[in-house]
Amino acid sequence: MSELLLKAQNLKLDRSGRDLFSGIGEVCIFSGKNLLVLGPSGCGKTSLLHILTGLLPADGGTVEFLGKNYSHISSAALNRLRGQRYGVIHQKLHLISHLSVYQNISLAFKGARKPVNKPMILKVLEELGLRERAFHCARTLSQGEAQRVAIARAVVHKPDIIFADEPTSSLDDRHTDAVCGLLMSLSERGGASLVISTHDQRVRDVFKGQVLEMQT
Amino acid sequence: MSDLALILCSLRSRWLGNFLSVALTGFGFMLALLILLFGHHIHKRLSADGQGIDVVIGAKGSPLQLILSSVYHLDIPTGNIPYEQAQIWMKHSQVKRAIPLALGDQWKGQRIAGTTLDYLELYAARIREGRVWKQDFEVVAGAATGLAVGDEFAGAHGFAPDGHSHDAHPYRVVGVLAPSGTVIDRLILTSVNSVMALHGQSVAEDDHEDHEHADEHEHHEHEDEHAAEITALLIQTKGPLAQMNLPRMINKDSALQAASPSYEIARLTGILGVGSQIFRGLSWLMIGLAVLSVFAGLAGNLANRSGDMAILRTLGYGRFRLAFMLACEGALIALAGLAVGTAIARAGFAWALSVSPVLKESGFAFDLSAPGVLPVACFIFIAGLCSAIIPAWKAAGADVSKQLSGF
Repeated sequence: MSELLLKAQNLKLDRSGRDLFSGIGEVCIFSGKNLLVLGPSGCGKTSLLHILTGLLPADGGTVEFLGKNYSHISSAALNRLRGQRYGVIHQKLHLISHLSVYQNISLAFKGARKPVNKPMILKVLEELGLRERAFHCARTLSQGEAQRVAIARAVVHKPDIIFADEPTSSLDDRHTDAVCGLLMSLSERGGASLVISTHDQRVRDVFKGQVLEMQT
Repeated sequence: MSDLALILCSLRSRWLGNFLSVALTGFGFMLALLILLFGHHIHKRLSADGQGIDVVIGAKGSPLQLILSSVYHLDIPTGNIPYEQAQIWMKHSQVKRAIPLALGDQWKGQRIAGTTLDYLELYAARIREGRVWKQDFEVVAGAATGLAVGDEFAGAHGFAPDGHSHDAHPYRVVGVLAPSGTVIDRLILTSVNSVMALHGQSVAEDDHEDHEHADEHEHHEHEDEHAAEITALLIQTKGPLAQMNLPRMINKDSALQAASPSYEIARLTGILGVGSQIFRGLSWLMIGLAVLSVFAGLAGNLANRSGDMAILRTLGYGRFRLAFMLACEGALIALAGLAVGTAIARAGFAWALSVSPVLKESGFAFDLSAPGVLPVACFIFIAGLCSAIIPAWKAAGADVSKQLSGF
């Protein structure tokens, strides 16, 4: 039976006098299970991801990781939790432009307080077809390459949960399938749960897992 | 990738702005360093040269000129004083030691001073080679004069190198002093009588240390003997009270002038201080500009870097870790500025020594332990650190969620 990793209850987030999460009762993420947060732009998907990763405090409700309430642990412990247990892929802000691809990925290990595993980084880059770009400056990458490097950075330190915010927003159908397939295969192989937030209905077709629909 | 590597990469990515900040800090520190080193050296030399001399008696005129000419051998003497009158004060009950100085000649610009062996004792001078003078026209040369034992030379009248040469009575070097870092390194010392004899004078035998050789006075260049005169009398008093009273008494009761080296030098440094204060102000201005440029560089770039900060936050970097890293950037710029400033100052110092033998002979050293250097360096470092604190604080307090949503 899958272990309950993350549980959010009765979340509240006021935006212009409106509670974005009024329709959401409980969000549970189990180990090895995936969650798709689907909804139109502006419904609060990104905010929900930020609350789940501890980057944004909610106005109400609780978030617990393995039974530990975010509001009861120090900010340092929360940072450590995020660095060690989570991998996060952003919608557009992928990489630190003046660092190399390798350096960008190695930051995941530093954030997780783990020694940098160079063979692992190069192996993941090999799988993503970016081995020859390992020591190129991130600013020289195309948008698609940068996104794949961000995926590599999110999975390389073997987190428990991988959060991906709008990973397919600017991709065509072929690349949407490829990115979703890549995310699911990498998370499955690493034994991680995958949480994708998107407005892109195409993702639903290829996604395997629970779906949480949000409304504006 | 370590935090330090991340900081260095960040600094390298904005190399031009950082280079300018480092250059500004470096030039500011260089200027401050050179001013401090020169000031310290001058103070050290003035103290060493004036050590043990409480009062100087000489001819009426400018007291500062009297001190500069008799103690530091920099200016032209105010005139001569009758040796007879000087003797009254030499034997005064408040005087512990009195050293006569007879100036007026030079060799290749280096002053010949007629004095007693007490003068060597005053500066704790050591003979490196040879011995002290025993007869008239024997000299002991200072370490920086370039003379060696056995050399013979004729002194020239006055302090200009083209003065009338006393060829008939050459001096013979019988001893060379070890370097002392004081004024005697560049003096040629002989007996008072040697100088007097060249100028048609002589002192009474009982006051003359070389009385055994008084018969040599017959060989004067000048046929007619004049009353004996000396240039100045260096006095060591028996106590602070005497140091205060003696000048007052001399200036009031005699035709002579008495001046205090400590007072006159304090006056001189006060006058020169205006110039050094302007330079000091300039160096502080440059340091201030450097601090502002570090601040502007970090604060101005904060908007561009907020995305990078947000990425690092999602990777588990804490607010204070990021703020610390940003503060380290400011501190590293300040440290680099200090290193560059020290290197430029060192090069400038080496150049100054190569073009100015006087500086070299005076024992001017690039001494980073000189008073004031460490506080200035600490100030620059702390200022660099502080200039990064506001941007670091802003970065620490930034709303990551907003930054990530904004893109």
